[in-house]
Amino acid sequence: MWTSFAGELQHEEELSNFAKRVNAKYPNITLKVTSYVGADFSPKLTTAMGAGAPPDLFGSYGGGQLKGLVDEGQIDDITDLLNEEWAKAIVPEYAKASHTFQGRNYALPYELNTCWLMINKTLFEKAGVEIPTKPWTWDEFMGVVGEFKSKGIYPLTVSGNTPRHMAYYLDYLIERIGGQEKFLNTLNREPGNSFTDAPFVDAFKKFKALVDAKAFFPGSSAYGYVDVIKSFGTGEAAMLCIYTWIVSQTLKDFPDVQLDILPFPIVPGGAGGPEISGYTQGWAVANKSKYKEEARKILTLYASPEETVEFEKATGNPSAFLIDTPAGTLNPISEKAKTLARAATKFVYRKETFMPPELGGKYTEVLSKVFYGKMTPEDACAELETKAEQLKNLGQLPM
Amino acid sequence: MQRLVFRRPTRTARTIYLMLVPAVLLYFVFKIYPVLQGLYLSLFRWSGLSPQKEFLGIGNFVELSSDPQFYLALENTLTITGLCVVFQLLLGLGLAWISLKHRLVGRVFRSTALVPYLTSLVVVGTIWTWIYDPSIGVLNNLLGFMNLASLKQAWLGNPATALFSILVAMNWQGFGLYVILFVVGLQAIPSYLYDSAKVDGLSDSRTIRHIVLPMLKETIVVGFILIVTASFKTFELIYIMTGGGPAYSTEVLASYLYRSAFQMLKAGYGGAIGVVMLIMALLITFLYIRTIGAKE
Repeated sequence: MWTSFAGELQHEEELSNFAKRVNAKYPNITLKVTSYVGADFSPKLTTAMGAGAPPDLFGSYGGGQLKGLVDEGQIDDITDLLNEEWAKAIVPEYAKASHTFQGRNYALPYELNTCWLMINKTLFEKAGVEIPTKPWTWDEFMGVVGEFKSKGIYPLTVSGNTPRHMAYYLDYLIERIGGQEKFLNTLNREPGNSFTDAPFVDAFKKFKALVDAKAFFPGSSAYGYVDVIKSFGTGEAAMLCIYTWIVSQTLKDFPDVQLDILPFPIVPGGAGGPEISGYTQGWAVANKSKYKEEARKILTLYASPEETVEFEKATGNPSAFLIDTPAGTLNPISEKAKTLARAATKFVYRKETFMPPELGGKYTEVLSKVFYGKMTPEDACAELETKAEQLKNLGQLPM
Repeated sequence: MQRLVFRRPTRTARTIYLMLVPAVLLYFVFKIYPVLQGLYLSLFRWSGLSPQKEFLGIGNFVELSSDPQFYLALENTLTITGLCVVFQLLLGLGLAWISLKHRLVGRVFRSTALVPYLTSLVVVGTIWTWIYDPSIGVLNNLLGFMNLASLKQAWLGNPATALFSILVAMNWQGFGLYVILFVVGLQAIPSYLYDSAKVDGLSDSRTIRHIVLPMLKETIVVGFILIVTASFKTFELIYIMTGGGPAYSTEVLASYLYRSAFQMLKAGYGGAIGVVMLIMALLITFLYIRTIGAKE
């Protein structure tokens, strides 16, 4: 089993213990867990698959990355497993969505990650900013940015050297302004839709407005994937737009932080509603695996109520399964995120991984250039459109 | 008319050839074959996964020729190569000269000069990332201490300073090898040449120019080739310190190859970038050796 959790100690420990429980339940199965850091995971997996020696089981973010592998015949179709009664009862459709192509399922979704504005309540109090009870509008949010600045507090921090962390803002803004349908139609090259259309340009402009307002802690432009946890935890900024995987680590490393989550601002007049951005992490089985049956037994065990409790307890992150865990299994912040997410019928897409890898790469590349003032929003959208057209001509789009 | 005569190899020669076979075989399998395979793949559109490859001919190279990110990566690679050649050769020669002139300090210096070179690049990258850290880094704190707070910044987060900051780390890591290389070269110059220079009243700079540099020509060529090849392949420090950022402004050919082949699943395109790297490194080295040879 390959994962992308190297360095995420709680996840690593949970899987290591799970492997022992697998071996205890199935003495003839040995589960060996190998973890890579997020950025190295896809390249390692691609190389292993290209070499014809993939891991039997591996983590999947779904979307375009998984579809690329599905198209190459590298992933086992586990639709029959997810159609079994036990699976139908606990795996919601929205969780399966990003691992499903042409109605076939290619991964068992097990972890629910949703994206929020993490807030440091102490800094809100210090700046005299009231914590809202309903989502801010974008204009209210920009007003709050100004309020923090006037009190000498940086409103936001970000991981400048990990452009996908900046993309979390854009993922939301695109769908808040244009709606999910507009995004999907544009991605799938439906006539009359282009990445140069107003909703996309406007989304980039709104993100740039944050940069121009100097909303981000200045040093964050040099921060990597993990530095941003330290930045937020040490109070360099009051808010951080990120997924729930960070919650447990932050609470553990910075117990003094008064943490809470807020929904991403809405854009009045936009075609999108107040949906949450989210994705499920899943386990996929390699088509070339010699141990598909064993892999399915492992997946079935992983989805059991006992393992779900173990998972939430160890990682502090919500499970994707519709299994109620005892009160106190999760920390209160993750529990709140889980409750709010379970009410969702659909998620705002995490676009970098949802789109084909080449377009996802271009998406973060142009956004990063906008962030550093090297590209205008209009040019960024034009580059996306050019790349999308190229991929259409190569048959990679529509998805 | 002259006749070609093929002589049977002697028993000793046969033994030598036989003993060379494993080394040649390993070299072919791990060096020549991957290069040839890279050349072959550069002619295809290939995801790196599929058994299917679409033959493009020079299509990938045509795409490269209009790819602005490729030109940026090329420019960065050439900048790094040029500046590493200048700094590491100058530092290497200068410090080797000083360490031989001041023997006691020199001995201590020579025994420590190689330490950064022998340190893992991952460790070097991490150390320098901490030095440059905008909040807790030594550099910004030092600037603050020296009342130069206005110069404090996110060194690795500013497109204007990121590449330069990486170059400092790169040269710090690499120069030690060239100090040792030049110390050995300088020690191989017969001492009577230094003595006659002294007798003729030549200054240090004229001794270096008229005696040392001509005598060190082979050493300089070796150093040049080592630096060019290392700089062209540079990847680890970039990957660890900036990941190619900010805004891909520190991307080099090797990191762009990696991103194209393994993150964007364009293995053929990545192969084409590799071919360009190979050709350019060979070309620069060839031209340099030829220039040196011509001067002889």
